Amino acid sequence: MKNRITPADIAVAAGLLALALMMILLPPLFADEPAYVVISVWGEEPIRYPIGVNREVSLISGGVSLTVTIEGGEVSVTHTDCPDQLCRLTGRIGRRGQSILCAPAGVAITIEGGESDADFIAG
Amino acid sequence: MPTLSRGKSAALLAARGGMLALSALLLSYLESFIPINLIIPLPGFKLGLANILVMLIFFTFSPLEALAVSACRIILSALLFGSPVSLFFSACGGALSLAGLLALKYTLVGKLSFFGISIVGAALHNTGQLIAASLLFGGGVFYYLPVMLIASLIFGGICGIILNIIYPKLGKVIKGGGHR
Repeated sequence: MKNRITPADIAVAAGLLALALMMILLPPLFADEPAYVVISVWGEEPIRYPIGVNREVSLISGGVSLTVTIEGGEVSVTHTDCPDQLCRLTGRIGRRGQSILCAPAGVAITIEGGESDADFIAG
Repeated sequence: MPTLSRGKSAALLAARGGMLALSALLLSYLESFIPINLIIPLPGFKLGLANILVMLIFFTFSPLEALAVSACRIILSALLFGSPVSLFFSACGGALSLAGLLALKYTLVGKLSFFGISIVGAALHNTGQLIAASLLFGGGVFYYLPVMLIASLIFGGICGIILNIIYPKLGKVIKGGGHR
């Protein structure tokens, strides 16, 4: 075991950084436009809302309440009584593939691409 | 070096394991006071101070002892400060991270310092947590993977540098103490 940073260490760090940057930079080149906000609770059948229609969705799961706000092509959790507040602190998301998670409530809010309909589709 | 009877040796192992598990738990608790989430408001980001101790045990004593201490820390930490969900996340992350360390131990360990090993361990830990999250929340959570990998570079790198500094001295001290 070496006690100082070695060239192999730098190679590992550079490889990991390159992998992360590729994952960030490549998908938008092939992505559809964001179309739906998909909300699922504990991985169950999700509910989809078109991202272009402003609305507020209130949820209660696992004793935690959340208010999800879709506005101006972006989505955010604007209120929650969850103790860690991480979902609210994540802020607004608007790109395809982005997610907001609330682990205590088991809620995942993800933006998906595709052709958007005017009304929301349940199921 | 004095030889120990099997009973004494087992007692020493149990006492040392208990102390190390408690130390790891204490580091986890202390870490909860560091407001990382105010800087990076995403779930799962931690400095990973307890992993410093787990890696120290892994390379000073044995992978099995590191597994035992890590498992104790994860279970106790979830019982005291977490939830069944956090237990599941930590267990998946810890298992994948230890599997990666085991693979490194028999391959690249002679070429890497703790800096590289810690980065790989952190990246695997975060990947394991995301695999656990994908089982609960669906595959959309992998959007976080690149951000998690960059966090692994930063936080794993910091832990690795700390280990590079303390291992030459502390490793010998705690190993010597175990054989007395």
